[in-house]
Amino acid sequence: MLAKIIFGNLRHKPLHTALSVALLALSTGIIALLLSMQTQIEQKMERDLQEIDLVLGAKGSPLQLVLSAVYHLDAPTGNISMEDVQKIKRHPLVKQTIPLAYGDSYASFRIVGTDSNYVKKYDARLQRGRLFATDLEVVVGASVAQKTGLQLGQTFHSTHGEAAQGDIHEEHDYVVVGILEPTNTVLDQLILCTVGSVWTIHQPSEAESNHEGHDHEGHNDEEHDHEEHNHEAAEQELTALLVKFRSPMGIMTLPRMVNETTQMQAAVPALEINRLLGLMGIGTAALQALALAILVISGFSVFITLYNRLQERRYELALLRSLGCRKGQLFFLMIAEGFLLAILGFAGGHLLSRLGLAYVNQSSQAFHFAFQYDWVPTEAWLLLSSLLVGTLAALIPAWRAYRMDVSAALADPS
Amino acid sequence: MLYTTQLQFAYPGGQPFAFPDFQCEKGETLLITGKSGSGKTTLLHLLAGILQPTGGGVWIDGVDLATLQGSAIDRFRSQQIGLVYQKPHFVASLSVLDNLLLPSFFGQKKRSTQQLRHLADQLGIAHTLSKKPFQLSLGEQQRAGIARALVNEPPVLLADEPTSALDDENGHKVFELLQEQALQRGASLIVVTHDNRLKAVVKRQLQLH
Repeated sequence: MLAKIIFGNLRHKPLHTALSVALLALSTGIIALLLSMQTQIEQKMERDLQEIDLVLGAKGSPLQLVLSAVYHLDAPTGNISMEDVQKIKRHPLVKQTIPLAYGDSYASFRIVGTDSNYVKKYDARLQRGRLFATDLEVVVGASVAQKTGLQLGQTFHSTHGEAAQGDIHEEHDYVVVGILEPTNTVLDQLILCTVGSVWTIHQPSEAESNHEGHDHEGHNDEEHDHEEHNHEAAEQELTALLVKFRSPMGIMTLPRMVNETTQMQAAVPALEINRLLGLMGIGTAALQALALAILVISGFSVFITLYNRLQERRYELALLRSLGCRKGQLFFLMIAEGFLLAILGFAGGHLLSRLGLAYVNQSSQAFHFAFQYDWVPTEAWLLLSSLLVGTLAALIPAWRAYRMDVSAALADPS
Repeated sequence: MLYTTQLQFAYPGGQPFAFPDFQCEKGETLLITGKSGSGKTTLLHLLAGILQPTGGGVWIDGVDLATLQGSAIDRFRSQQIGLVYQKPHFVASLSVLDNLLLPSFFGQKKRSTQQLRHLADQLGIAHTLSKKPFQLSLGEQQRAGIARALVNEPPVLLADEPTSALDDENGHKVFELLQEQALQRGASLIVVTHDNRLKAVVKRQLQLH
């Protein structure tokens, strides 16, 4: 019966209810969206990092190098020579190195020349087919397969650079020999092949190789306006090298050695990413403050709604008391309304935030990262705080209902 | 059945009211009259335990209302007293049937929908049960108000100006209905009013000054 009264009252003034719920939904929605995105980006960054202690690449911005080589979000800084790479490989503190050579793409998915350790690092399993064994064989990530529709045995030409309208390397065909299971890591967005494949693709044809540096037709055209490294890849260079140390001692000595004695730079991904997340944190903190402000305002709106309704319902509530409703029950009625508004608001906000994620997923293809719709643990705090806001907003109206002068309210049937 | 002794009440900072002692037996109807401001509604609220007297007492069925504390008075009221108002207000968001269920819910007296239908039938409002209160005519509302007062079969019925909002014909009908239902159930009926039409039909009257 009490539930009937509560729901009946919320339904009775649908616009009041809708306004409160909408405001609550908006604020919790924004916060939930931010929390979810922030958590997922951090988790993804964390997952993609996978014990990569150090990234080596051409000199430039260390953040760019990390974003480019670990997350494949940025353009490469340049190329590094095999000679320098060998020096690092032989270093006693280095446990494992993974070569990366990239610069070409297919349907704006990056083609990365590497070895099988790269796949092992992310515990990726093959959904179908096998790993690449020889040059020009590729294994495609789950998202790539899904979005491009590439099938086993299918061949394709790579595009020079990352843009969809880049020059096409028509001399060589890549052939798909394997498709990876989804790993929820950067691998999903990549097309993997041997380092040799990338070199082969960029091998100048014999005629051209004699006139290096001149203006040519075909794919060498890009020399003056595209990154040089691709062209130089023909001279057996790498774009970046992922390094794992034998002991933490490596992190102390190797970066300095690299920066001082080679043409490469060493970037510590964990450090760079913390810096990046710290920068992003300022933006999300501002947005969260804004959303919190909306949450407070919506709490205020719930308060005003309940308070106004209390004035309107004075006689009705007095009537309930005269019919035997106890003070405590009346108090509960009012609190429950605020609580219910908060639950409805939170549910609406949850829905809104998921729609927001879907929209982000839809619109930011270039980011190559699909947000999941799962419940993020911090959202439990959001639920708690919105329930708290709803309950607090109902507290004063509930107290006034509890203390109501039944006789005066009944005598004044306005 | 119901009687008062040296009943007094004063609103904070207001003139104190002193009410004459009276009693009302089972099946009896008592009309309490008086002009506005004579304390009619105050008296009714004292009898219903909505207000606590500053002196004297109210006994219903041998129970001194002053001995009932907190929610006990609310429980007692819902089980022993049926209240009828001048303008029968309802919980606007609930159907008439649900409104009739309220006293049984708060009084913790089980009433089946069947019993309520029977009661509504007696009062001629069976066809309104699924409607919302505001969809009823004034006469229907007043009868629904009486039905609500009768749901828990209370031994005491208190009515505050039950007829003054109605025209002669409807007022007469409603009062007859009220008296008839009280008599049928052997309940004491106390009506507080300034409606002169009622003075002509009720024998026992008490004038407040």
